[in-house]
Amino acid sequence: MLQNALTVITKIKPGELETLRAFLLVVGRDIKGKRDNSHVHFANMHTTHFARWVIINEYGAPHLLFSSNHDGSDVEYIALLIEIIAEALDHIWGHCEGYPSGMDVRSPQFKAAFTQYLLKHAIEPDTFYIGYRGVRVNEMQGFLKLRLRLEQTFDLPAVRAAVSEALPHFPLLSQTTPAFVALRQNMRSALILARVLWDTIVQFLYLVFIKPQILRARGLPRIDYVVPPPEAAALYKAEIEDVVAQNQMTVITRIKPGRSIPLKLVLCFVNAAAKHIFNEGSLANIATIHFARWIIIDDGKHLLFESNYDSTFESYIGDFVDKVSHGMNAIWRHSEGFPETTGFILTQGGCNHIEAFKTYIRQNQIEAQVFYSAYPQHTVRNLISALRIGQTADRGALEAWLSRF
Amino acid sequence: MTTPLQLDDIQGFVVRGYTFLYARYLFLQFDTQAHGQQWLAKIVDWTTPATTWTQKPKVCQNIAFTVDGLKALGLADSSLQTFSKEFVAGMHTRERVLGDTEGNRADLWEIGNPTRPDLQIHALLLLFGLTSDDLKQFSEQHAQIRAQIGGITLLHSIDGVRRLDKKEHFGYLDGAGQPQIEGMDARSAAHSADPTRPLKAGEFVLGYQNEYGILPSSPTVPSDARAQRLAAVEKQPALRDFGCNGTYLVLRKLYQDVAAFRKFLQDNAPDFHSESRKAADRHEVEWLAAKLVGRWRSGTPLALSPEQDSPLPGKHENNTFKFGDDTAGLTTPRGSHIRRANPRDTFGLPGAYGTESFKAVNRHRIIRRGMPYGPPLQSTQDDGADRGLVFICINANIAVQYEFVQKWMNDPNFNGLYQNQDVFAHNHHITDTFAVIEQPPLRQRIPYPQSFVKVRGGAYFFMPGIAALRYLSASE
Ligand code: HEM
Repeated sequence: MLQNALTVITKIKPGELETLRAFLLVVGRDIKGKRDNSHVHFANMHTTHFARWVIINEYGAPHLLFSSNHDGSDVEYIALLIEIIAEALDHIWGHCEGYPSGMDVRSPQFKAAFTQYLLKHAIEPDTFYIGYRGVRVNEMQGFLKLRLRLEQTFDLPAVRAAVSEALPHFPLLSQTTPAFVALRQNMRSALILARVLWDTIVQFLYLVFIKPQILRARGLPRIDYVVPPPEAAALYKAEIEDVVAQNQMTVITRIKPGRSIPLKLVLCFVNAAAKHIFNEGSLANIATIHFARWIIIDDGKHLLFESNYDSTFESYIGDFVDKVSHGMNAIWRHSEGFPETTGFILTQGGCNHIEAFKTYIRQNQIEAQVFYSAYPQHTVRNLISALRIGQTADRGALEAWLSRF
Repeated sequence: MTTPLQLDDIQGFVVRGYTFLYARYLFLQFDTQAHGQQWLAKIVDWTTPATTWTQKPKVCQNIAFTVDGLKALGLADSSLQTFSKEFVAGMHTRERVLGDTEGNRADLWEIGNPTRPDLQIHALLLLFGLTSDDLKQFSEQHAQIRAQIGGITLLHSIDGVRRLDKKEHFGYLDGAGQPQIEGMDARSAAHSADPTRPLKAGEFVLGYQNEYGILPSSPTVPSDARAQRLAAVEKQPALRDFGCNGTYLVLRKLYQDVAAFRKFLQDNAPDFHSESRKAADRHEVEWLAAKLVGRWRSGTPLALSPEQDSPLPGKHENNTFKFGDDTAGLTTPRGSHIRRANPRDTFGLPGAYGTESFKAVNRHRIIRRGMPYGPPLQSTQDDGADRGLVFICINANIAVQYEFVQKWMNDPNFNGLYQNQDVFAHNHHITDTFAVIEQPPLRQRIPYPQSFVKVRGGAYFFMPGIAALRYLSASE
């Protein structure tokens, strides 16, 4: 896969939480590196779509969560991380247990040790959703620039006049619909469904039987998390949101006893569906999610949800409830404290109690000290429309046509 | 089955467009609980219920309270916490959500300014009259009552005046697009498959099912002796349903810079003339005005009459048109005021257009009950007078309805748009924002020099049912 998701949870050393938090806040408040953040410049890490550091502290032993959506493999990404933010690594993971401290961060030994360290604490997502598949960050940014240039060009009176003048002289090609389209479409749907089911089963078997073995061999990442009291909903600091066109959401909920297996099955299904069905900028017609992931952590005790979404919390939750309430209910009804679900397959009610659902999310949501977006002004739909321009306009062909003309 | 609406308990303003020509909005403050309750006890019987009129009354009266007002009337904190969070926090704390930044900041407001505790609003009294004399008399009667009781301060008073042609200050017909309410409208639930059907009453009145298929959350009070007339709360005998038949009311005083808007139309309209021969046949200013809103200034929607203005369609047709066959916005621009405020069948991705879009949009509707204030602008230059819209809307859930729509207005990326904010209703003006008009051969972008509307204040109110009003007026 071109785009990947790295999720690393490491334990913070006793007594070092506040120093770490202070450092991360400096980075987070100045993510572009224009003032006092001289260490972490994500914009230079040209393969980062989104990234965040989140301190998981209030309800259990303090842990640090790092997660990113990046191009290329995790190993390549970690190598870039070392290259670009070398000076910051000691200040960040240096406060976490198991970090290879006291080494020269530029040395090959450190590179090997650090890569191993992050990979050891990395957890694979059970469900990974990608809003725009197969595009690299720098490609996307190029398309966005192209789009801006085109918009500006189309505003020029001379161009407008020329287009109005020339356009009527172009011929209209009649559109013919090939036969068998309907049949082909039906066969395609059947095939997709089969792939979704197959992937679900394979991934489920892997997650239930093989992955736990691997994790145990590696030492399970545990975070000893305690469910926050309902009052926690009121404590969430909403003012850290709505700074750029997107927001991040990090939510940890406690899985009800004995429910991690059925939940895994649901997540496998959503994962397969996300891959084969909802892969054109929409998770069942929610076109506001750039990347999202669900991960069962703590040996089946907790569910971590992370997403990078457009617009505000209210509209995001509204979108969820309006369009995929069954899916949300199917996933979160296995978590403690989720509003009660009803109906034949228990996917009604639940998040439809929208106020209760919002409170539930706020209660279990954790602030991110650092949140980086490569597209601070653009929504998923803006990106996809820029992508279309980029994909249809081929420079080689255009140059050839213009020079020959 | 749907519960019939208790029209004799719901305040008339909630479910009826009164269509009076004269209105007065009085913002009041109570010195003490006793003053407030005495005053309320005196006037509560005049409150206009939603029962059907056999004859249009000469005057109407309705009442709503801020959270401070309910507190002043003696509601305990534990009861206040059962109201919606946004209401309890107050409009002035919602700056970030509403986009009330820079010139629209709450600390600059005339009404509801948080830095002026002396002007803290407790109650909103809405008075209406068939004629200006009727309203004057009724207002005087009210003034006498306040004088008798003492301890009730009139903080502000705004007169709403509906012009005979029903146009607001920018020259558009006002009040055309409005949701219908199930049980109030002749079209019954039999049409439930029709997405433009009347909406579930619970979207606008507490105590009834809403579009999520549940009852909206409703505030409660302890079930003491004076609360016995209020509805019971299921499974909680210690509580009574204070909210039943009540609803939330949002009021914002919006100043309109009419001279600037007219100039904007004049400056930008001729552009079209030179480009398209077809457009030359049109009256360019009117055409641009229509493209910005999605309706001609006469009120006729572009969706029904794309090329030129035509007589206003019937009330039903004028509310039930769709945008679905105009995905690209060539007729009704995707960023136009009415398509943004109510995208109908075109919300979300084209794959979700139609019923699915309606399902989502129908959960974010508001009933608009505002009126213009201030004199019409006669000259081309600004005359310095205060004029605009007393924007009022009714909704059962402020966050999911009014605030949601307000955010659609502010959002430059709304529904797939790009650098495009609403012409009138956007707050938090960003640089590089445009009106975008989709048209062949090339879409037109017109930069907004400024916003034509400024927020001069406002507050969130609760408009209780009549039994709940009596509860508030009764001493313990
Ligand atoms: C001074 C500011 C405003 C002006 C001049 C204005 C003007 C208009 C006009 C001319 C219409 C079309 C006619 C009609 O349906 O009544 C309209 C419709 C509407 N406006 Fe506004 N408006 C303003 C502010 C707002 C605000 C702040 C909101 C909400 C946040 C809003 C929401 C709506 C809605 C929901 C509709 C009906 C759309 C439909 O259902 O078709 N407006 N407005």
